[in-house]
Amino acid sequence: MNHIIDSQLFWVSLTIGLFLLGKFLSAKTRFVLFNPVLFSVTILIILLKIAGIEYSSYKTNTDIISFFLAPSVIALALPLYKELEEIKKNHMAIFISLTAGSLAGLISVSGISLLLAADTLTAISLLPKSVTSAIAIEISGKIGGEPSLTAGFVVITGIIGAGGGLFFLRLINEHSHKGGGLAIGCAAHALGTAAIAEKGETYAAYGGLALCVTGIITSLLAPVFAYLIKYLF
Amino acid sequence: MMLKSLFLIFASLLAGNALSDLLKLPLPGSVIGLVLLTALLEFKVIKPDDIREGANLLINNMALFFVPAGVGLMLYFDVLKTELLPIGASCVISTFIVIITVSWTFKKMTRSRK
Repeated sequence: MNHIIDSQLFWVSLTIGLFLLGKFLSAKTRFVLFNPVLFSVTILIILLKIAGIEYSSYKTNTDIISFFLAPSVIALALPLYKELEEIKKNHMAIFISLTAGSLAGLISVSGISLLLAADTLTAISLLPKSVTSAIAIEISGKIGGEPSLTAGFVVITGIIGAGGGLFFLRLINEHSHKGGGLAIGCAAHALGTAAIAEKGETYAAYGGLALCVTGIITSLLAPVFAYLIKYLF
Repeated sequence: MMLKSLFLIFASLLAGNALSDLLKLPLPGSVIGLVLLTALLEFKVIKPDDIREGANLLINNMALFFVPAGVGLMLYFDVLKTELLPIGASCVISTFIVIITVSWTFKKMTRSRK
C-alpha cells in the first residue's frame, strides 16, 4: 500500500481532485473560503500533517503540476496580444496606475508590519509580496530579505487576492475588467490573475500585463524601501 | 494543434530563461518569455491560432498549478505563528490598498482623457 501512496499518481490525483472539489463547492455555495486554491492547499496541509509526510516528498511527487506554472504565465501572451491596441492607447494610464499601486503596496506593507512590531528581516522579506514568485525571490535575496520567507508571503498574498479580490472589486464598485484586471495583477500577481482569468479574457490580459510591469517596477523600488527600513529601524 | 501550441509556449519560456541567464537580467525567464511571445504575435511571426489550444488549456487551469507551492506554506508555520499579526494584517490590508489604488488611478486617468 505504501508504494501506492508514495507516488506521483496518488498525489497528483489527490491535488487535482481536491482542486475540483473546491471549484464545485465554491460554484455551489459562492462562499469565499471555498476558493479552489485556498481549499485544496488547506486540506492538503492538514492531510500531510496528520500523515506525518514531509513537504519535500509531496513537492517531488507533484513537481509535474508546478512545471506548468511558468508556461501558464507565457500563455497570457494570447489574451495580452488581443488587447494590445487598447493597451497602447492607454499606456500612460496603465503605467502610472501600476507605479502608484506598487508604491502603495510597498509603503503599506512595510508601514503596517513595522507598526505591529514585525522583525526587520520579516518586514524586508514582505516587500516583494505582490510580485510573482520568481521575481519576488530574486528581489528578496538582493535587498537582504529571506527568499524562502518571501516565497511564503507571495503565496499568502496570492491567496488573499485570489480568494477576496473579486469580492473586493465589487465592494469598491470596480466593474471594468480592465481596471479590475490591472488591480488584481498588481496586488496579487499570477495567483490573483489565475482566479480572475476564468471570468474573462480581458481580465486575463490586464492581469498578465500588470504582473509583468509590477514585477519590473517593484524590482526597482524595493531596494529603496529595504534601505530605509534597515537604517531607520 | 495542441502539441504545436505547447511547443511554441515552452520554446518561448526556454528562450526567456536563456536570455535572462545570458544577459544577467534581474527578471525571470517567464516575464521575458511573455514579452517575447507577445512580440512574436504582434510582428506576425506566429499566428494566434498557432498557440490558442495550449494557451487556453494553461490559462484555464492556471490556479491549479499554484497548489503545490501553496502547500509549501507549511514550512513557514513557525515564523507565521510568532508574527501572525504583523504578517497577516500587513498582507491583507496592503493587498486591498493596492487594489483600490490601481483601480482608482486607472479610472481617474482614463476618464479625464475623454
